[in-house]
Amino acid sequence: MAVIELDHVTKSYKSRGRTTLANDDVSLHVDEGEVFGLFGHNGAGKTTIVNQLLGLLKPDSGSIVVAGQDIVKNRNLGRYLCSVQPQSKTPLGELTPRSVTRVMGQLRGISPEEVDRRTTELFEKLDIMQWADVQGTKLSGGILRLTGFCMAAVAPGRAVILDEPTNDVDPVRRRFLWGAIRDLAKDGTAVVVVTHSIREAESAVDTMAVLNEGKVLKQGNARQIRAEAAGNLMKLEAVAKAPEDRFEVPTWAEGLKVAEAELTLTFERELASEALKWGAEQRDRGLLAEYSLTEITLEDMYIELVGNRGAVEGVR
Amino acid sequence: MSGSNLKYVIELQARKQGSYLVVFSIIMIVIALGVAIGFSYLMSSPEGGGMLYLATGAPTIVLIMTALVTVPMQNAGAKMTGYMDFVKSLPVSRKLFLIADVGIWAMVTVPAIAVSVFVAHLIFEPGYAVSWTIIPAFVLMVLSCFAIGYGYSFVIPAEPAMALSQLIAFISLMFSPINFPIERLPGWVQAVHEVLPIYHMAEVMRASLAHTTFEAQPISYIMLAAWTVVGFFGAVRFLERA
Repeated sequence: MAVIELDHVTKSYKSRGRTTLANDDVSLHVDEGEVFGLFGHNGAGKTTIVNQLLGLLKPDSGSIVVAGQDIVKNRNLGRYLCSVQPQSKTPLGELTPRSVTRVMGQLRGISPEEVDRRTTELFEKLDIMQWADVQGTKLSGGILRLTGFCMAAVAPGRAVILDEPTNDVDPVRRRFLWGAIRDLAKDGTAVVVVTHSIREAESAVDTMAVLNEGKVLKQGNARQIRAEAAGNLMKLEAVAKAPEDRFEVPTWAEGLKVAEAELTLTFERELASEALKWGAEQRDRGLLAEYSLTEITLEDMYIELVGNRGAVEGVR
Repeated sequence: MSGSNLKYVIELQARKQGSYLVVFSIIMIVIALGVAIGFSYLMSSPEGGGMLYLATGAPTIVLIMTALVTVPMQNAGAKMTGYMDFVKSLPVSRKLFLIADVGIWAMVTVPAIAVSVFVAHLIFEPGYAVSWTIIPAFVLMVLSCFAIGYGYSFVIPAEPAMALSQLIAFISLMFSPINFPIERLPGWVQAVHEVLPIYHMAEVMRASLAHTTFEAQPISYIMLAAWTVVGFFGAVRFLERA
């Protein structure tokens, strides 16, 4: 059952006579028990979607329904129905992770025993118990971010929205965090994750959408999208020590590209041994440094889809 | 439900600021004593009516320094660090946030006002005569002062609000009829103060602390009530706005 339903949502900002289209006819559905990944470059319109779900912004047109309630008509309901981890780190002042998580749980109306149980569970899962009673002013950015996650996850309700939850978090705890995100969905909550860490999100999201300049470029089941993008292809990735024109493209390869000193050679899966041999030859010729064979990832698909466009936009 | 939620919002706000609130209570005591005692050195003979002006002006200065200078600085900072966005995303009525915060900061002013009045009385015996009207008057002054403080710091963008708070601190200390009679000011400044809330706050405070010497005109109460409505209207509009 769909918990979050956005249909044909359009939102523009006007400032100094210029109109920016932040969301352009966006339609997204998130079911209960589902982790939904929302990907896109900076300024693609991801946080605008988050703020509209919370009722902090009103769409120009379109409908937003959360757990059966119309958020456009009744904007105040948004923040009651969705728990959110905001994109900016919440300044805790002298509050400790434990005390602020407790207040959040109580505000969402769960019993004190349940609050304590959930808080302990989350802190242990994320391995931040040692900072549970340290004042916010003395905490590092990563711990503040993880505390933000706990504040949203302590009493998740029907929908949880996480806006770039892994920023500043160390690699080990990132894995714990993705595990905790999966657990939320297991309990039946609809989870929306806005993130740039597509590679990490790949194994955690069920469905996804790629947003670019306010438009949805692609959406659907993450595994299917990846399978479609990859087909029967694999790739060889290597550090290139020479420009693209020095490489001879093998006849059996699908494509060869050198960008930012990184070489990518794509080929049919059956030709993996040929590719390894080719890699070794190029290294012997001094054209490549270390190389490896890997699967085509969601991130490759993403970069293919919006990468170059976004980069040009960013410069302009 | 909203009663217990208010408790949690107070807990959130009070614990976030924690020891800072204690430090501020102490700073306010120092400022109040500074006005009552320090300004007395400016006068050639610290006796009689002049001293009573200072002694009854100090509590008003405390309220202004807290509600119109410190709190707006805090709010501007909270806006810039994204804390206001967090507050707006909480699953509670946003008015509770305003009620909780005004309550907390009003408490910060109480020790300063009490201590300064008590110490000034011990040292100078300026002629206090506390009327029962001090309680409703204090409530009205607190409400109007905080309404204006929250109102302007929410409605105006953070940086100009910070600048304005500094201007208010300077003007209220030097160019406001809090510590001296309004007649000493040039006519046009008097006219401006008739509209602004500072003069009326001082009048109401004086009438409450020394009712045998001073009397506040009904217009002062009306002006404060009007500023309360305008200020809270602006603050609530900012909070309720998406």
